[in-house]
Amino acid sequence: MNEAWVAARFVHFAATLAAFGTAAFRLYAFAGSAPATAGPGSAALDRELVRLMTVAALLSLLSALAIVPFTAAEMAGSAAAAGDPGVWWTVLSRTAFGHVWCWHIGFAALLLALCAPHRQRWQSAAAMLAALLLVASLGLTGHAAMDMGGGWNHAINQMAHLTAAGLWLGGLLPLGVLLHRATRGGDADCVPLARVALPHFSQMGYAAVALLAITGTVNSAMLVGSFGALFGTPYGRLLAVKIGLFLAMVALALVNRFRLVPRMRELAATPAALRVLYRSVLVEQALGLAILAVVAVLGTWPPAIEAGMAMQ
Amino acid sequence: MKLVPAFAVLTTALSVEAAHAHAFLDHAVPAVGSTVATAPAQVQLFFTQGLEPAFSSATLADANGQPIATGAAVFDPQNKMEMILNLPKLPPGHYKVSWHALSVDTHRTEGSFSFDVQQ
Repeated sequence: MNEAWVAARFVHFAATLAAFGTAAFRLYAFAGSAPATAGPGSAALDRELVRLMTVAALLSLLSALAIVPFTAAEMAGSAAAAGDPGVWWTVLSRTAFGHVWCWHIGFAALLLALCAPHRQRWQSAAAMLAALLLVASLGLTGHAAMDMGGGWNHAINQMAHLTAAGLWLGGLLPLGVLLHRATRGGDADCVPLARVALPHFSQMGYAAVALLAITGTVNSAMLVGSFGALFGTPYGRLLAVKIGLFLAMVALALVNRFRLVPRMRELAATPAALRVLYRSVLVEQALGLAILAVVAVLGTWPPAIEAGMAMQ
Repeated sequence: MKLVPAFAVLTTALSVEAAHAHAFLDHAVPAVGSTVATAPAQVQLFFTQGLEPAFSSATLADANGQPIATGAAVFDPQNKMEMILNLPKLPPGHYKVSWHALSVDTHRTEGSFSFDVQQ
């Protein structure tokens, strides 16, 4: 029961961040470089990214629906409620979580509709907007948003955190697809595309990592409360694991940025550097998934801030 | 690795407005463990956080653990941190209030407390 709930949350986080990361990547990665994106390789890449976004949006929608019965069981305090549509309806219509979740499910459906094959640029922008709403509405649920103390400050902080996570973690997925195409050979267009996209991804990455660090620190302070609780409570220790994984990702990203990307200024050195970079991005994706697994568990535990109160 | 000292500083700075995800009983009227001279018409339960009325409730039992019929718990729409249990006329004795609370971030807590109505 609990394992299935955590699994649904994991799939939902991964799919939602991947959908947003991909929708955004399609807009910023090749911005302002028309010559590189004129070839057939570019169109084929974009079709693959749209397919990726479609699968992610579908998984996000299905996992959002799957989370409803689990939440019903959690709220009602009985496993039987998971199979009772009456309780699902009460959850969706009469709780703060349910009201947000109705919008959230709606945004997932909207994104899926906007993933239909498209040629117009406005459709790409609309899909990115729907994905942004999907990610931001996720920030309105859970520990971060629903407390009385932090109020809207905490909700806005959490929305910013998720948006940054979508840009960076979610963006590693389309970046991996591009690097895979660029390194497997036979797709000559994709090497110049990678050379264009990598500096753009780096710039986005700086901003996203900075935003993640700031909003993550604020979040931790609100939900853990003290430096002692970070290591003294189960919630705090698991959060420390998440912070450790995040720092490992940042370290790997910095190595890539300052050792591999500069080598690509020489065309001859590019293919070898791209291969190393591709493997490194796969490792970063794995670290990102590990972070999401931690988050999927964390949200089902009481925050460390309460450890003292619960014992009273 | 500069994040660690930054984390410590921010953690200290922000700890005053820390969030509470679960609702705990802050206080009650009649007070927890108190003895009241006259039978109260209602029990008021004040929680540390807003509750979801659809999934929060309270029940009353006498000294023998027999449930006493009360109305369903009601909430002030303006203040979802307060739950009210309207009571029938209670004879003198020992009473136990059991509460189940669902906080607005979907976590359940429960607890109980007693009060006495004087002879």
